[in-house]
Amino acid sequence: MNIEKSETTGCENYTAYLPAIGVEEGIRRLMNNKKLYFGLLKRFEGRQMANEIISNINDADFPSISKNAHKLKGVAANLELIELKNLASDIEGRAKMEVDCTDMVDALDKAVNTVTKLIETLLEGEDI
Amino acid sequence: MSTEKIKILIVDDVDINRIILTEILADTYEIEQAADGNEAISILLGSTDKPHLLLLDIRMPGMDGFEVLQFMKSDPSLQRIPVIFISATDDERKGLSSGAVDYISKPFQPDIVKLRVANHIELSLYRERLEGLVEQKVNELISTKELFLETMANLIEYRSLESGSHVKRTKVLAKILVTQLLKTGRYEEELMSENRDMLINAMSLHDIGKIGIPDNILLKPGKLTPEEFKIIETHTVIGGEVIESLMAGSKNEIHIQAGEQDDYLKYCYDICRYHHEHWDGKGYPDGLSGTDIPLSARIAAVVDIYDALVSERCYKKAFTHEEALKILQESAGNHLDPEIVAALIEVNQMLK
Repeated sequence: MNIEKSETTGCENYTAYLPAIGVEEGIRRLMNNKKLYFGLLKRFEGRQMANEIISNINDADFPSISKNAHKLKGVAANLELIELKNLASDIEGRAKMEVDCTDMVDALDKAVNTVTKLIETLLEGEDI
Repeated sequence: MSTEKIKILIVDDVDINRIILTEILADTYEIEQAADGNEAISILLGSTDKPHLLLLDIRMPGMDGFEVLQFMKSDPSLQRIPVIFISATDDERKGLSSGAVDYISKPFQPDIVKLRVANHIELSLYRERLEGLVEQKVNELISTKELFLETMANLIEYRSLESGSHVKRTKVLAKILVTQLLKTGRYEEELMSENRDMLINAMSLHDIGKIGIPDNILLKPGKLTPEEFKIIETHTVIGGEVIESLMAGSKNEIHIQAGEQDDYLKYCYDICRYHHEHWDGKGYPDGLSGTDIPLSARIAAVVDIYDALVSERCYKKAFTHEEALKILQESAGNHLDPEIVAALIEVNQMLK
């Protein structure tokens, strides 16, 4: 993935990571501390969180689905992981209504894989 | 607003969330973190230096944010700490109605977080300063009232040609007696729950009702007739009525610590009205007996009688200290509370 420098600001342009990751907004939210933002992305345990939700879905454990989807939603929101946040929000909403979420497992799995790969790319070469 | 030493406790089970908030706030405040509700409570209870504000997640394992807030509201040392809920849910209404001062949604917007935190800390500090000022003024007011009432009591004593130092001495005696009662475990539970300083100060007013007794009876050097004695007895009721009128007047004033003012006047009322009740029920005005007589009045009875016995009055000479003790011992169990008399006997050397 090519990161281009903006012609006006000379700073990196991370628009290529959209719509999955809003890197620039994420950095801004962390007081423009890019190193900290990247450090938090590295720390993000998206795969683990997704696996837990998938397990809850398979068990039809709606309270746990809701709780863990809520948790993922909050973290994803703060890290500007936009698609994952939206998906977690949908899952949480359905779990609160005790609506079957099985059809969302694939989407969740795909979304977290995408984010994981994008984060790996983003952090390549970075001293984090 | 000075932000030195302003401490904020961030409570969220997700470390990334805590780190983000810390990053936003750490250059301005001292930050402490807790990973769940139980840890937050431990930190709050274990710290003498309480945080000025909590940023509290709602959905956490174990104790959730609402339960943490409910716990804080039930603890006097924690209930004034402002709490801002931080959450990705849409239960803002529930959050605010449960006692939180504000609600911050995720994702955090740094400028919004900073402004909300700063505003609430400023409000909290302002309220603290204001409450401190009010407390100071209330205490000054209480002191002024106590001084006024004590002065009135002194004037009344002078009117009956008794030395104004009787008022002071009854307070000193009461203090010695209360100390001995506590030391020996007598009426300990009751005394521990009382405001002992107020109880002692209220002794000054035990005979304020004498203001309503005519001079020809109050100052009569000879023996009183039964009818005159009946009039003298009314000084207890009159004293109680004077205090009641003060209580009614106090309710019209604004006190944040109205309870304290009410306590003092309650002691005054009990002492004024009941200090002539007898342990065996043969006293006046209401014929109360035993522990139905308020403790403050039972103490007042002993100190008043002792001091009256050892003082010269217009109608009698002063008894010696030993004679006075003998009379008190003979009165124990009929006129006077035997436990209080016993305590006085134990410290009688301090009374000379």
